[in-house]
Amino acid sequence: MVSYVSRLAGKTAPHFGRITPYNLLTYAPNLMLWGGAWWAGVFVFTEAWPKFQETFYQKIPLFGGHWINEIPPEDKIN
Amino acid sequence: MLSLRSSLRTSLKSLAPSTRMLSGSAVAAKSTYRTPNFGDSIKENNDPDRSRSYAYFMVGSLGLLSSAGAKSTVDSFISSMSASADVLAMAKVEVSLAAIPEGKNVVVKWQGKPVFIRHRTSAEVQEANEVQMAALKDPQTDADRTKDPQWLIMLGICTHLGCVPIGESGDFGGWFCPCHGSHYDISGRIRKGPAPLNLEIPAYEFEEDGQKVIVG
Amino acid sequence: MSFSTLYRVLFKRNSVFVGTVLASAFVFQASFDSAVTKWYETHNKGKLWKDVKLQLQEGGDDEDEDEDDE
Repeated sequence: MVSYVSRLAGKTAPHFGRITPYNLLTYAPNLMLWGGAWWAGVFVFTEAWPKFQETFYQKIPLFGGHWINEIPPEDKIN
Repeated sequence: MLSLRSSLRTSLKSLAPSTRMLSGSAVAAKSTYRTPNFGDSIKENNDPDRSRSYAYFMVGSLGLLSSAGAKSTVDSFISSMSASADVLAMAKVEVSLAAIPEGKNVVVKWQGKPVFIRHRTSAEVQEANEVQMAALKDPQTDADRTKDPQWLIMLGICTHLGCVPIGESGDFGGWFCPCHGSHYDISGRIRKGPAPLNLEIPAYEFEEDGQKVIVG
Repeated sequence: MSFSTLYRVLFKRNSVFVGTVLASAFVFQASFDSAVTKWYETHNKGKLWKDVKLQLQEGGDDEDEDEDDE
């Protein structure tokens, strides 16, 4: 029996849209930098949020004191 | 017509080797525009990185100011929604429990509503625990309604139409609402009358080893 | 630092550029707030609650007594 080659012996690389493992790897450093930039943006917009101030910003070495606001006990309302 | 077309084809064919037809980049090659000499306008010792850095610095500064401004705008809108200091000051009420003798009721005002605090005797606690669930309209155990069985703390608003029930009265030794005759037992549960639900329990915390209660 | 290193380090990659802008915005907010508060407090020295409170603690009782006498 004659066997015919009906198509090229090629495979499609795994991909999601245009993203393949290979180009994801080449983008990785840049994507990590974007991640850092994203965090900086989060910090900007949560600067006035008390929960974030307590957990992160008060612990910043040099100017963490900016977020510490002590009210003497006699001036507290509750 | 036919001769016109064939003559066009031959003329195009003759053009083909010399110019690139149907090519976007060929326009520049065919252009007769003479590029002027900008030599006089170009600065000497010009550092392109310097001017680029200046432009990017300006762009970045604008971005810095606008992101700080955007955050500030969002912040002022959101903080205007949070409760103001006078509201927060009224949100909680502190009651010293040491002053309430056993078997007595105290009514305190909390957010404009009466709150009943009863120091129950052990007999009353036992009475509240002995009630069968089947006998209740709104079944709730006494343990569900108190943090410390000695202290019953609840909103003094009849669940029927919002009157204030009278303490130590009614058929079940608890509260009685004079408006439409709802009887509540010693755990504040509805037993008889039109009210559909038990008296509501507010959020509260005991502090200083049970010497103080904070409602709210 | 020459301009070419400045350009290469900060502005060449957009991610670094945006990140630097946002990080300095964060620092800017805090320092601007501190600076304005500091200026406001020196400008209104003596009228603020913390200054008034000290005055009350020093001579507050005497003033009350004077008012009672009248």
